Amino acid sequence: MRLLTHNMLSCNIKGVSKGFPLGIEVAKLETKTVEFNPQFLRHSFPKIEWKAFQEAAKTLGVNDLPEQVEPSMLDDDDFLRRFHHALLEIHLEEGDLVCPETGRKFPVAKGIPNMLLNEDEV
Amino acid sequence: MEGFARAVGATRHLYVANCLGIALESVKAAFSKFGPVLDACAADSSKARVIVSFEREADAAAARDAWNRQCCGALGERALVIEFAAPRERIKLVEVPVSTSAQELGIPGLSLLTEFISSREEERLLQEVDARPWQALAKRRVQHYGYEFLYNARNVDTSKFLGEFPDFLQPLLEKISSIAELQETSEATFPFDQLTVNEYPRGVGLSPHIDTHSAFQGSIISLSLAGPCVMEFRKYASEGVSPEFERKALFLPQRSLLILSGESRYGWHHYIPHHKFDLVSGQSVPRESRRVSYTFRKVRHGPCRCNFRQYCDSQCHSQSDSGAPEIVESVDQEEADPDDLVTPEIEKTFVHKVYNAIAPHFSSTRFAKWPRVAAFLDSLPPSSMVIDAGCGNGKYLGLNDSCFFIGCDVSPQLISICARRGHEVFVADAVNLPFRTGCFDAAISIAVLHHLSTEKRRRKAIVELLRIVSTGGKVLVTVWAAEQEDKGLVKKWTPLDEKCVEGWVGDMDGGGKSKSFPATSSPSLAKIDEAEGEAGMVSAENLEEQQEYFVPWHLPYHRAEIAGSAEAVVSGFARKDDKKNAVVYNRYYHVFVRGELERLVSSIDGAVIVDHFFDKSNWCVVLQKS
Repeated sequence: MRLLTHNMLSCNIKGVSKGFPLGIEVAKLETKTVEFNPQFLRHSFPKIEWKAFQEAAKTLGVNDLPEQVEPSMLDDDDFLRRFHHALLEIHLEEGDLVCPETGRKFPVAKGIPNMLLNEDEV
Repeated sequence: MEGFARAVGATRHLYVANCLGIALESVKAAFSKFGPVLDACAADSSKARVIVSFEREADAAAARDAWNRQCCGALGERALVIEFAAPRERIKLVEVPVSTSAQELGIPGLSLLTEFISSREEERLLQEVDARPWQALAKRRVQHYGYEFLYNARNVDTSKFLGEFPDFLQPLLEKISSIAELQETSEATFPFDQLTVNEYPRGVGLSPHIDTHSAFQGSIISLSLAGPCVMEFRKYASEGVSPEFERKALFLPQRSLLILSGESRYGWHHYIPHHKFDLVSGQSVPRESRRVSYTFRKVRHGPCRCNFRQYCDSQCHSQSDSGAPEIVESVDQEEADPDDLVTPEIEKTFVHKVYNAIAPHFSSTRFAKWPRVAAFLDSLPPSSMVIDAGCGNGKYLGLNDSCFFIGCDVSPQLISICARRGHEVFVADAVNLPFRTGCFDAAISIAVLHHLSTEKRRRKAIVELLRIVSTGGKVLVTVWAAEQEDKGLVKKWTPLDEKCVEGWVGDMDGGGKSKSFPATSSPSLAKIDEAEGEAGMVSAENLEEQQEYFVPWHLPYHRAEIAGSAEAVVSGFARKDDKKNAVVYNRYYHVFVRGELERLVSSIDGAVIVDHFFDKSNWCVVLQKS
């Protein structure tokens, strides 16, 4: 699971009003190189909840993202490369995603989050 | 939930979720801390939800305030989800014999004129309304002429005149105005100034009601087009809330005209059962794919002075709502029932379990990409974020390499195949997608909805897709069509009758809870294909109406995953076919009839259909979020 995906995932247990962002408990990370695509990064940027993204990146050991961002940074190649790396190249292979409201853990195994709910959660 | 439903306000009953593994006695003991608990019983078969009934409402409220969404020390630090519950007024109704003659029913003021118009006139009336815009309600579509009928107020907005009736109605209006019995009513029926055209999809009915007395005067006239239905009439013994009532049912054939005057209009509730088949004179009569009714009424100016004061909003202010007592069977429910999101057994067994069992073989046969899906993906702007909800083996993921794809599926086995191919995927359920709202540019749902066994669930899956795309985002939905190009293929499927599906799904339209099959897989299931004419089978003449099927999957003996099938064969969940050298699994399908997908979609707010087409035996729509 990439941080791009993490930035979209939200806990959908019935009654949970604030299921985003999911906390991350890391057991294993992997880095896989992805072709650098500035156009995709510029397109994705407005969709990213930056604070959640930056904090999730920190959890995964990426500390070089700014806390505050503005669109003008998208012209800065250095920033784009750091954004690219955090967004697409780091994978959570093993660990848990944690609902911020209920503490419910969604396991991530072999890079695959299991977001299925139990019957009493829907 | 049997016996209890979520309550709107506070009650003395609590619905407590997340109790799996805790004894009812322990739940009862823990909650007694807040006051006397009369009972703690299972809310349903899941063993995870409990109904705790206090003696006093205040104690129930205190318990809920204290423990809802809190980790409860008294119950092993369990995070409980607590809501108020109310007992369901479930009235078991047996089918009432359906008459074909209004006189036979003996309800004063009720008449039925059969073959009131010709087939040609009928066709014209249908063409005219189909050429005009429909307004989508939860389950049906309507058009209003003259004055708009407001469903919340159950009245017309007399300040809002929509204009004169269109000209095409003139011949019909003249024909109606010459009906002898309408000349001598105590209140004038003519000229009509309000018309509501209703389009009911197959299986959709109408809640019991009396048209608001103060809204209309004289007789109410309703013409049935395109298909028949049964209308039930109910007269309550006393003040409207008693569960005891007299019931009479009348078959309304296509092209018939129903007249409600006097007592039948003011004193009887009318109701259309939510059925796909009606039992008339011992014969099962299928509803058509839709029924369209033209209902003509005359708006009342001034109070109603009828003799049915208990139903009269002009004469009895305490009873402003002339609706029938709440009967679960007929509730027009717009609110999501929590049970809608619990996967019915039929899907767990004959969709999830089967796909997990056949995943590698299924995947090895799924590589052809439909050109229309590929074209949709190709049409997306570069860098679009795309979700494939129900992605199977992921054959569409990455098809447009300028876009970013995420896939999800309910089958972990299929999802691992996707992950091994390097796709960004996770396991999730299409009726409850774990995404924040509006985060995708586009979504696809390919061959997914036909595996969902109730209309509510199919609708919810579309609502979810629309929720997660951004405004202007497009959603492509494809489903198997009942109108298969290869008719021979359909013959290989096992038709399921409604009772059978209902049994597995539970309460499909609020009716009986009878299970035709046990809730767990059993040896009897494997025999369905062979057991001609037994329960669960549908006779050949009904095949055209048939939408629920088991579709076989043949897993060849030489496949590696066959090892995992031994148990399935022993338990009766799958069967061996030595002639074909394969283990046969059944997959559940609800195939869509022409127009059904569009109807389903048009009942959802916030989207427009930008394209719809039939492609390779599939019905397809492209929606755009507005």
